[in-house]
Amino acid sequence: MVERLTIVGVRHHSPACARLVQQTLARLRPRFVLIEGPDDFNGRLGELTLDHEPPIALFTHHFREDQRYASWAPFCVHSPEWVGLREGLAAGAEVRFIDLPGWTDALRGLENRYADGPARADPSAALAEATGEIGYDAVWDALFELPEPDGLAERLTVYFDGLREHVPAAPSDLRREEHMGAWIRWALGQGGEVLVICGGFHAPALRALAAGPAEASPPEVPAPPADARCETWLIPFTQRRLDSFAGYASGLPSPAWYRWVWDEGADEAPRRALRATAERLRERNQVVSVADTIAAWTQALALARLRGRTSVGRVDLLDAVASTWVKEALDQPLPWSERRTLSAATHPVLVELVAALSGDRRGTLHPDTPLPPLAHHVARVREELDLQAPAVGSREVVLSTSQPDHDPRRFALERMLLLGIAGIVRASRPDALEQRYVLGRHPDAEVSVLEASAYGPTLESAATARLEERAGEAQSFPTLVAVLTAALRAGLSRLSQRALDALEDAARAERELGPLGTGLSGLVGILRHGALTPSQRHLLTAVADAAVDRGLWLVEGQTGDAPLDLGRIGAVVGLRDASAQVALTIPVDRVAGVFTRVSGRADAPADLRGACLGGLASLGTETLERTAELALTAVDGLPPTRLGDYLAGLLTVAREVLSTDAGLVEGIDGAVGALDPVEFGVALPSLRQAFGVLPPRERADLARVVAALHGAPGANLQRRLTASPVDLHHAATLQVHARELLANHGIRV
Amino acid sequence: MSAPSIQRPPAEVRYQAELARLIAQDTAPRPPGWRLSLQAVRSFLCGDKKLGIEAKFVGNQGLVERAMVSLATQRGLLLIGEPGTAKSMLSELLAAAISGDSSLVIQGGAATGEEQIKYGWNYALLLNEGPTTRALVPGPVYAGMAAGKLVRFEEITRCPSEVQDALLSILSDRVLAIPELGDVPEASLLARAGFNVIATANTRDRGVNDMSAALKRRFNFETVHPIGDFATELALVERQSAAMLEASGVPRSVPRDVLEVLVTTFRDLRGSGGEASAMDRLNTIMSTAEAVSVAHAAGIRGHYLRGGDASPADIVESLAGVAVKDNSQDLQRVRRYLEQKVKDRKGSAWKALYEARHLLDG
Repeated sequence: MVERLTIVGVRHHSPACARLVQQTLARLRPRFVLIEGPDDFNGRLGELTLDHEPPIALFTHHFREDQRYASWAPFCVHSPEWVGLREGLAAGAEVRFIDLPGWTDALRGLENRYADGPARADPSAALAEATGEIGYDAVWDALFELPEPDGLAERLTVYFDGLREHVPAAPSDLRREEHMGAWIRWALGQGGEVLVICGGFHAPALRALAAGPAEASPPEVPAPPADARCETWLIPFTQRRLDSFAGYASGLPSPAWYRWVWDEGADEAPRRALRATAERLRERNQVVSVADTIAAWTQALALARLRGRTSVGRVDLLDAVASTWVKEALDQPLPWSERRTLSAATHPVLVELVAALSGDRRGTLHPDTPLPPLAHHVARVREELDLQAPAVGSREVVLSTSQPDHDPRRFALERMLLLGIAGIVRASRPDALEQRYVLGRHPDAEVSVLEASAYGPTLESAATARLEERAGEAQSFPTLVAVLTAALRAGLSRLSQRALDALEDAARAERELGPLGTGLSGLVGILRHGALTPSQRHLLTAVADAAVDRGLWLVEGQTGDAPLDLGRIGAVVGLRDASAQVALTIPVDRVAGVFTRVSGRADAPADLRGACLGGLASLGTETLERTAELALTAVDGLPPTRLGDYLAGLLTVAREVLSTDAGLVEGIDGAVGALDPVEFGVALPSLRQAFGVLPPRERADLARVVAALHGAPGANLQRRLTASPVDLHHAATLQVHARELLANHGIRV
Repeated sequence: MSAPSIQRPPAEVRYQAELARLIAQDTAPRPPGWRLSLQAVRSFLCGDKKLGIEAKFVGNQGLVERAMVSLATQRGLLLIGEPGTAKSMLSELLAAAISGDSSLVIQGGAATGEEQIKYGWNYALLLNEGPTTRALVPGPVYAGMAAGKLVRFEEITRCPSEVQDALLSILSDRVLAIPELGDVPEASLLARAGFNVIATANTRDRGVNDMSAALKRRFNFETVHPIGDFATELALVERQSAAMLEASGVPRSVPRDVLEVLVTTFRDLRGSGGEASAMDRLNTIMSTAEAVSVAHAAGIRGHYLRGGDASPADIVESLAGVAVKDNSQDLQRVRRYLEQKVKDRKGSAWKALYEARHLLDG
């Protein structure tokens, strides 16, 4: 019976494997073509045979109570599964998907059904050494994509049998294989040739499972739990999202490259790639001369020959362009020497090179395809929540943010804004208490929904995916925290591990105290007020840990006389808040240790010394009295022009020291009194900054104390304004204009 | 091997036997003027178990391949990277394998002039005979072009840029004009196949920014990175420091845990360490070579001063003395590193390193 069975174990998205499937189909003319794919979609295979332009994807979504899972199964024209499906159906074979549906436990956590698992993407050291290639993708190319196709099937079998021996299968793999095995045994029982197309890792197991007794009926397609809702839809996909350099649980690097290999052949692909890279660079005003192109091409040919290939491989071309076009030292090893996403410090030429080979093709669905669920979803949500645009003109929706946790209308609007759905505009500041949105008709409204549907079938899942993408693009720590804040504003609490990893890396890489402080404060805010699950809280706390670690490092590294920098002070506030309000693993002692050392160091900037001393007071390491005494000593030793800076730091972090009886106010008064007019002029702005921290009532109290010191006890320092409200309004308007004018000239006040 | 009195024989002499074996079995096509095929050169540098050839360059094979291919084409090769990343060694090994001669070296410096690159004159003969080929003293480039060999240009960016530009026509037209000789055929020397230039440059002192765009265009740039993998670097430091200690008459090697602390510290301070290394890099060079010499120094201190093994305190001492000399900012970074990062690490060696932090001030 088993001789009627052919199993082609493939790597997903591999053109070489797709060709093998094509040839095998033509040779066998099988009755059954069984494909690793969600078998709950078998009733709708017709949707896949429409005239689509890949990349497209099957998107499965699963809601159950408050849990939500999403998984993709992307197809490009050179996906072995796609070829098997389309050509199998065209040849009249019975085609079935045979894997478990995307919502089942076995596929949970697997966002891309066709991604290489991490363990599987790690070739044995022996293979890497034997081929002389670095990284799984290069080893794969050298073994399977580049050589002549003779004997490919045998080589794949040897390779995957070996892989299966080395890499343990997860219980979820076994469950999926059990299911696929049952399908195969059923098909074999029906008679005729059976062709199975599955991930190579499963092939050895399926071969063994197929040997069992035939099944009378196909395995039951599991039904989702009664209280769950599961949906699978076709959505357009993009080459960018397929690319493992972009990092979203992807199956292969450089999708455009493999598309060229598939469409135009292995000889043409490197030419196309080189041309595309040169064009991209020239569009960005980089010089790529004819001589450069010749040099890159010569280099690529020579590398290919040295590496024993008949045509230029992907890594040969990447290497050649890096060798010949980059005219600087690189900060990091070439990005294709290991499997990872591009980091912020990647050389611009390499960024464009990788992008050129990634491609910007967007898939399109045939017009007869059922509309992506997002389109229905958006229409329904807008109707249910009364968020429709009027027939003519526009309307404004005003929503209060005072109930942060539950406001479906605000969440829906925020999500649509995140997805760039045309015809919705925010008319207030994003952090205002009252949010105003303007809804109107827009010619691109429908197209924008279709485009957004690539991200997911519901506003929530799509906005989450969009935000993850933004997190991947954002580089700096504060922008990533801003992404996170946006997520919470839109009620998107499902934050992926990857976004959080990026956040942690960014915190570690931040070089400036100001941005670090901004990000850290935002993060503390999220941890204190955001609606988070325990695991998210745990992950974000780890990020806060990394940020505090980095912040302490930077704080202690500040030296030299420097003018007032509010960013620096803000960082101390962030560190103090994180340490006091978040359950960090970094002990308070370590934070306090840094604060102690910096506050006592004469060569640290004055504002930072003041802020660190304030930090000690508000962390409770020093009593207020002791802090005031220390501050007094420090004030005595400061250059007069730095007095204000020091106080700005101290009072921003712990203004309560002023309330002690330690004579701090007297000391400051004395120090200010001793300033000569020029020094006073220099110190004035930061003195204003320092006392501006006090709320009006405390400021008035302080003024009374100072007045008493100067022999005017009981002075009435409050006076009614004599100006008319109209004048005041006029003055305020003028001030706004002045600020705008200054801002236009790049001056911020 | 050559006479024992030679302190450091050149690579082609040190590895004479291996090179001879490679030449004997090499059947692959060789670029014109090369003594070995590219495959054999790769085996020589990256090792070949079958032929019993040890790997000499710890780094990635892709880099070696790109470097060789650059040399086989019409562009020069510029190796660039932090000091101590074995750029010069790579250039020496490439020259030894490809040309059988690594001695055509120009050492770049502020005082390097064109005559040290191209040719000079024997002034006695010049006065006597006038500018003749007999009176001409060939420089490394002249010799390399005439014989079809690789020329090594160390630290090219330290030369004044007008001197660097002397290479322009040589690299593009592959011809050296000697106008002094007058209207004779010898007045232009055409490079023989096999000639090319391997330059090295250092990212720390004057970078490649001062290099003219025209010259940059004639070079392919390859960045040589510090060793990426902790275990590889540790093994290298262990092997080399043991050999150096043996040569210094120290009968013991540095204990493993001390070496681990040393290599981790270097990697952290260099910014290529693991997660805990969110720090700024030092200005001081924290190369593998420097780690080896610190391990060597620590071993010598331990043995000759105390009659015992090297300890983490020796590392701190060496860091203060050797590594962060003259740079108060770096000294402060190392202090911060010990205070903030080392304090909470587990293990007695880390504890000892932290305890020894006061030695930084000494």
